[in-house]
Amino acid sequence: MNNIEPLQFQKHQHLKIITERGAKYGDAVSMVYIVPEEIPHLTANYPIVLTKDNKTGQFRLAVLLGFEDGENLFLKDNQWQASYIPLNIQRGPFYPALADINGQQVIAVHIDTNHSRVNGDEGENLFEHNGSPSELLNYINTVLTCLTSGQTTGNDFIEKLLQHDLVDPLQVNIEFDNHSKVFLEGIYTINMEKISVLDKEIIRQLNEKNYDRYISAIDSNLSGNLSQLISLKNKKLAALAS
Amino acid sequence: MSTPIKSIIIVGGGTAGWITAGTIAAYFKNDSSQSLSVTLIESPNIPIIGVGEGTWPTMRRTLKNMGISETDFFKECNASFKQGAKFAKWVTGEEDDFYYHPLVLPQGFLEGNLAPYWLEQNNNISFSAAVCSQEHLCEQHIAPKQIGTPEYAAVANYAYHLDAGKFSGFLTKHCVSQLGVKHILDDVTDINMSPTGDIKSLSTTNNGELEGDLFIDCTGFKSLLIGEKLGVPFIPKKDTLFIDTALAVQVPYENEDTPIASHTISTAQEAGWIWDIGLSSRRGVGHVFSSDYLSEDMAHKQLRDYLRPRVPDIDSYNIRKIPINSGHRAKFWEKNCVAVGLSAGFLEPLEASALVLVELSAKMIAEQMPTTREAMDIISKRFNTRFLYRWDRIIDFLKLHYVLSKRTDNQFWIDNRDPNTVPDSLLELLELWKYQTPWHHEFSQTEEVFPAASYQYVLYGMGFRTETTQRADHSSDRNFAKEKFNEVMKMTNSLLEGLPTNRELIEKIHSYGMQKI
Repeated sequence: MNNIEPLQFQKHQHLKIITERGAKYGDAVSMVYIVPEEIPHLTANYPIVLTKDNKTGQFRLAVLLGFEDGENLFLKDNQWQASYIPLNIQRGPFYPALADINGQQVIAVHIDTNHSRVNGDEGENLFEHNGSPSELLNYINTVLTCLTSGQTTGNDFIEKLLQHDLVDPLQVNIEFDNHSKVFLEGIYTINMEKISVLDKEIIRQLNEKNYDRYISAIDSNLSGNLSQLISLKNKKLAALAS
Repeated sequence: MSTPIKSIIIVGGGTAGWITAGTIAAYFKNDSSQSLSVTLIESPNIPIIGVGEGTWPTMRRTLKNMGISETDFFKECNASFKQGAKFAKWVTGEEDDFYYHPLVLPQGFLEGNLAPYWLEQNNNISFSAAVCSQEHLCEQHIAPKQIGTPEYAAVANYAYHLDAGKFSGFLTKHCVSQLGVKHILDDVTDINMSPTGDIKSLSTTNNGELEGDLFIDCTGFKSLLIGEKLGVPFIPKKDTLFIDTALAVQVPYENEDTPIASHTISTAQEAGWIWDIGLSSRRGVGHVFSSDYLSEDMAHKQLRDYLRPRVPDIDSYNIRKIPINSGHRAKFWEKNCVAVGLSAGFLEPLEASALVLVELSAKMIAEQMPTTREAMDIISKRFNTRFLYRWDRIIDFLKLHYVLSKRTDNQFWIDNRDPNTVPDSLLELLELWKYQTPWHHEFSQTEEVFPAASYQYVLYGMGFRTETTQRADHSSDRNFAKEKFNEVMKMTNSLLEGLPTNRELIEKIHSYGMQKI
């Protein structure tokens, strides 16, 4: 069970955070939500797709990390095998959430004190002795700020895509080297044919917000990065078989 | 010289009028070969009946074809999901007496027939619970889909419960703003005929004379055009279906967490039955009965007694009385006038057949819209043949529920089983089904209203026995049946685990909406 509370020096000064990667720290996930501002960093490695949030049914941007529940092909023991790690992984046990500070509703850092990264002995401090935030906490602050503002951009970006009917289900049947098969479900992408025939005024509106760059980055790297992910899976299968 | 059909005038603005207007207008919206204008005139002085609150799954296609957002429909019409009907106390009248007529087909129904194998098993699982998952979902108030399932798509087949008053207004707005239907609020003062016997035009109080090529009578029980003006006779069916009065009431839920039933509940009474329909905002409940067998006072009392456990102050509620005249017109399309909705006929709402007949009528009128007046008489003949067949099948199917009852608490039930009150077509089928289970061969018309599956659900739900010597000894068939029964159990478990409750899903639809894809 999660136990999420607003982060406070008095209450949490003795907590330490384990920052190395690992399945036992919740990194073994096959998909993670992203925000549009991350897209330039993600295109080198990750297939970027749209998927629906289970709880709300709303579309969100995400990257694929594996092909079955709990499979993260970028994670090898305690190493993440890509130069950029998505912010929602970096976030670890921290959440941006509304908190009541002196009667005002502000977005504040929250921590899940039951998270496997959180303990009293091992890892990095959250606070200096004088109560000022540690380097780690400053970094987490930046990550959460990016995620919060990115969420707004992401929602607007997706709303525009849906409004112009540009999202299509992506139906991919994959057969791995060992002949096992997987059918990717619940994955959507951008229909580039429809983009090419959009009204000039709509294109102008999309370009104004840089959405054209996101769209082309998502589209142009999808098949290459999906192939890379498939070859990571094939390597894993071969290693298991040998 | 041929006379092209260009102008459609619909008279009456209840759900029938607007479904018909929207279906026709949407069908011709992008058709440049035949330009049609659709005008709907409704009286500002005549209230709509508005008790048709249960639909068939066909309504999903009907709304989608009109270009309606399912999310908007849910929000604005207080809609909820309906996965079939639960019939309580229809067989013995005991507390534990119930069965389901779900909306999904028995597992593997297009490949093979499970009924003979269920009959020979004869264990304690009900027919519908053995052959599909839906009874299990309904019993736990589970929704038929997830919030991530696209609009109009289903995990388990579903229809709707809706607020009929709100539905008319919702359709009006959509048809006028999105589909170009011309809306006139005015009273029709006269119907003017041409020498050929066609309707030429309508005189109105404020809008002068409205000329049209095809007139659609959606004037409700009044049947202003096809009945009063064209004199097409009404064929009463009260000899078969005895119900003649409805008492209807709207009641709130106990609190905001009360489960919303995802099926219509129909509970048999001394001389009729009570419908119970859960919307997102309230329940709509009504007692339909035969006044030949039960006094109105007793009918009121039985309705209040039914409601009292969950609505303690039921005595303070206002109950509406609606007369039911079971039967239909001898023809539905006469000259250049076609009746849709209550003007065509009405039967007790036991299987929610009213709105589906409106949808099927509107669809056939749109799809087979005659291009000229000369072609119309051939299309109208075809329309009449098809719909007379459909009304007869619905009457058979409704009567089936009464024929199979074993209740003896009122002469109503005993008389219902008198063969003289049962249509010959149904008597013949019942004779056949003593020896073999209902199957596709009996229901071979295109767009058959009730498939063989529906007859199976009612027959075996009500304890009818078929002697099953039929080919039940083929081991391959027996393996097929075993496999399907197992599939149902597996599927039921995964659905119960993966689907939200009806109330949860409706609340999420209100908060987030459903996606179009």
